[in-house]
Amino acid sequence: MRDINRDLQAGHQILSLFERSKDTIDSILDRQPALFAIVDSSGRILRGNDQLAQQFGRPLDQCSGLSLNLLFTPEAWNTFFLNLLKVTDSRLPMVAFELPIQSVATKQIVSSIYWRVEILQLENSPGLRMALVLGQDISELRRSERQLSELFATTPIGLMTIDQKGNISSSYSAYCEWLLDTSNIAGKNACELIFCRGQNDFSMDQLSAVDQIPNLFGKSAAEFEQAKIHLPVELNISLGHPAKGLRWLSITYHAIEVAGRIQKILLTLSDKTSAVELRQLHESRTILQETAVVRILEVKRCKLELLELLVQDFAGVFSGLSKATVSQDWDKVKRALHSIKGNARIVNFDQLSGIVHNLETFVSSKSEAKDPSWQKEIEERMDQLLDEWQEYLDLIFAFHKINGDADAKKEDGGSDLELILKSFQALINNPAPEIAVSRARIEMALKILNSTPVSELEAKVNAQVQRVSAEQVKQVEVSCNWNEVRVNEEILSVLSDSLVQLVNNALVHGVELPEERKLKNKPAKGKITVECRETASQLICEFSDDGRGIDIDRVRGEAVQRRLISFNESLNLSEQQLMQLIFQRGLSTAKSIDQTAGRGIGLDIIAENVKKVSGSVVVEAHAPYGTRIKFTIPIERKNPEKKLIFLSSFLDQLNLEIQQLNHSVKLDLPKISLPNLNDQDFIFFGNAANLVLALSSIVADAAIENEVRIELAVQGERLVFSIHSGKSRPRIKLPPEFAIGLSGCYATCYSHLGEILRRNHQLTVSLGWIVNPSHLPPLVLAPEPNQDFELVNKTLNRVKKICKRFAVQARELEKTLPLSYMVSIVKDASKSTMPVFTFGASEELQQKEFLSLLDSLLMGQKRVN
Amino acid sequence: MDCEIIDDMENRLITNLTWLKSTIRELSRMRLARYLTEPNLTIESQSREPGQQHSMAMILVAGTGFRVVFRVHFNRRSISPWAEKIYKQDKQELNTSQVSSFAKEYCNLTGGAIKQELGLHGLDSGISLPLLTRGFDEIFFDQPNEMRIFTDWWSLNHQSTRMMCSTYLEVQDPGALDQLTLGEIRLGHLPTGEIEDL
Repeated sequence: MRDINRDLQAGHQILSLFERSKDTIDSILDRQPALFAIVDSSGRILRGNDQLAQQFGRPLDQCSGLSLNLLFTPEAWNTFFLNLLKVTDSRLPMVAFELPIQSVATKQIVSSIYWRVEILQLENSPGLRMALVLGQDISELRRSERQLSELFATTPIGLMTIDQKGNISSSYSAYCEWLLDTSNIAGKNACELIFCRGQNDFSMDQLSAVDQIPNLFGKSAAEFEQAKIHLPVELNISLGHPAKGLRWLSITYHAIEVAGRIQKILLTLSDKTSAVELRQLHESRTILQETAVVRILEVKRCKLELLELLVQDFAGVFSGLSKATVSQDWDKVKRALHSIKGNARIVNFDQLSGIVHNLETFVSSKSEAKDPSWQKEIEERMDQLLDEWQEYLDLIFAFHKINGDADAKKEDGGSDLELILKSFQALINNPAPEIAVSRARIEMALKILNSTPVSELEAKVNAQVQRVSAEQVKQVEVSCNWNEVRVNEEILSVLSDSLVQLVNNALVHGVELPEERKLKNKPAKGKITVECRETASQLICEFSDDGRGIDIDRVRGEAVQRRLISFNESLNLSEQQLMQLIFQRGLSTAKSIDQTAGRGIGLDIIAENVKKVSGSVVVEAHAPYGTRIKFTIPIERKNPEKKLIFLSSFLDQLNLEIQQLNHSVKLDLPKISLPNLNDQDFIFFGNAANLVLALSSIVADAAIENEVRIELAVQGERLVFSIHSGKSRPRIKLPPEFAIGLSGCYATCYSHLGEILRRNHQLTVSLGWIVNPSHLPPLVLAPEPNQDFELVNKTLNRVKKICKRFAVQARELEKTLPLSYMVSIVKDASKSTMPVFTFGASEELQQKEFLSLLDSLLMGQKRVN
Repeated sequence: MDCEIIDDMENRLITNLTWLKSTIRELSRMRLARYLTEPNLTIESQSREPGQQHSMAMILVAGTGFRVVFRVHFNRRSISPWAEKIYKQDKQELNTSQVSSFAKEYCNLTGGAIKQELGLHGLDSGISLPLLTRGFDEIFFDQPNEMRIFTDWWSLNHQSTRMMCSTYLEVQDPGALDQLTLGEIRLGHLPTGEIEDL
């Protein structure tokens, strides 16, 4: 028994030690700074600590048996309890979550707690499901976070975090909203808000990296660093309103890790718009500089005579392009562009050619798509093209001035144009006071040069041959026979465009490669021949090559495929008729489109242009021996633009010109008068200004070595202008605008339906017409064959009302008509069954009023004054 | 034949345990009544509620073939009126260790009474020192309900003050308690005992 007592006492001592030891441990647990509790599956507290008791507001020893739900609002407790169940149901060994402890009464957050709930399994009580609950008070952390957020809100840096779904977390700097031009971005998808809103040209790697962002969550920082290399670091976003344009953003990416795994991604955004715009400005300046250098080199490399032709051609083409753009005649626009491209390529203006090619592609795609929104864009691009051409023009004139190329030309033997350019240059460089020539007069002189030898096209043809043959690696020999044919500018332009296109076609499609030619027993070098000749009434131009000819079957196939003709039609057409189809728009036998060929624009332009000058074009092809294309253009000059002018006024202008000539070169030219001239009875049709200069030039030329006498007479409806030269006099140097040769002057006279007769010392220029007002064609108002009848009736009624006010005056004025007006709205009045009216007005005010009313009424119609 | 013997043994064990449980209940009441000089204490049976109280005092009475653990479950506030009376101190003056000491001493007194009562029935036993631990530790006693482990829960009440008590009985030898029900219970001869801080 004594032993038992001794053992018990020893046991007591050990138990006492354990008791104290355990008490110490319990005290340590009690004083833990985190919330500590052991709860059962219902949330009842089995063991707590001081921090927990503090939350309950009770002494620790009164917390046992309480339920944790007393700390939460019902909603928060539901959340906690669900997490607790996950553990006590053994679904998860541990859950961690953030849940604030809120005042049940006020629902205000008392503490922000990060909870960690773990399963606590006892070996001796397997049925009792308990959980160890640890709660870390992160109120301070949240407070600091709020302070930081407030700080961020005023910081001009966009900070935001995105979660695994790619959504923006609720904590972000307010600056983000400004940067992204979107309010309340919390919860929105970052990819949609940032990466998909701009006009960004992301690479495939970048797009893939953006798509992979959700997959980065849960990975290590090292993997993130590897992946973020491909994420875009600079991008733009479209702002809400189109007027705001784009905002450029710089983005950096940082991983936010928890336990070594990425839980969130922090994006730092900043506004780089100014920097990017500056950079773009710098880049565009650099491009401009480079472009300018290229342009200069292109102009400098080009021969002067080609430039002169180009300037001449482009004046008309660009004018036509502008008109076609305004009238939205896209077929014409495309043809004009094609013509510009061809010409630009001849002179090796690659930059211009490239711009036009792109524009041509753009116009083709858009016009086919029938997209109405492209009008503005095309106008802008047309303006860019015109600006580009203007840049070339400036350079061309600048080089003339700097290099003095014009001066380098021989004084005699140069063409009219060269001489004019030379004199123009001289005037600009040396505006001597004794040369009292106004710029307007120089321009006038330029205008009368409407007759040019077609041989001037040779340089252009050769340049095109040289260029395209080099591109196509073909050899070709050119032979031109121009037969001293001269044509006006319009025909020259038509021939120029046509020949360029034909050279292109011949070299691309016709002339074979040297190896192929050898196999066909042809000389390695191909041959292109151009021949111009004149008959009494026609200009004939033949272009031929000895290439493979035209594959008639391919033309047939293409024409059917493009529905230019039906299949049945294709079978019934003769070979010649089929051949003519190559002049149809859209038909090309080229297999692909490039800058050289393939659009099916080209030959149709030729046909169109030739038609403009009332000509025709025929193709003859004999595969495999070559192709021959023949233009026939009537030589008869088109009537000039009709203008009414009093004969007295015309004579005044002529005398004024002669006086100026007398004054500047000390000529003694007589004043021209017309005996018995009634300047109110006669009206002269014609381009008076050009004619005045032409006649004065002829007079001046005759007066260089001779004394002249000038007579003017009216014979029927023609004005006869006779120059008699007799006694010799010393040679006088004429001002440059008159020293242009007389061919242009004669051409001007011809264009005014003039006849020139030279007999010994007499030169007679007979001009037409002189028209008496009583012979004036009447004002004709009649409908076009396809015009809307109702509209015409309405117009006529309105005209009648206007005319009624002038009716009395019109009747009275028929006898002493001071001024008459001819207005035409029809092409062929003889086919009209509508009434015909004649109008007139005496008082100046009435005349103006009358004209104004008719103008407004007949908007867009031609008024002859 | 064997089955009859076993049944008889179990019946006797149940009888003995029932006697022992009620004896311990009564001893706990009488000891506290005497300790507090408060004869109007009542016993109230309680359902098993482990871990309800923050603290637990316990004492082990062990003999050959059996072990008895008497436990007192309490919060400081729940039993402080009685501690105040014992220590003759105000609520404010009373500290936690005094309340714990009261519980431990009461455990010791009750344990001694159990030992004495068992001795009167010829059962020698030893008694441990009373231990104080957290109420949570009670769940470690919550072992599977085997045949020879028995628990009993009751409270001693007086006015608004209540103290939870429980007994944990473990019988290794069913015959060890046979002597208990052979004689009379002599509860009226309990020793007075002295109060001392343990």
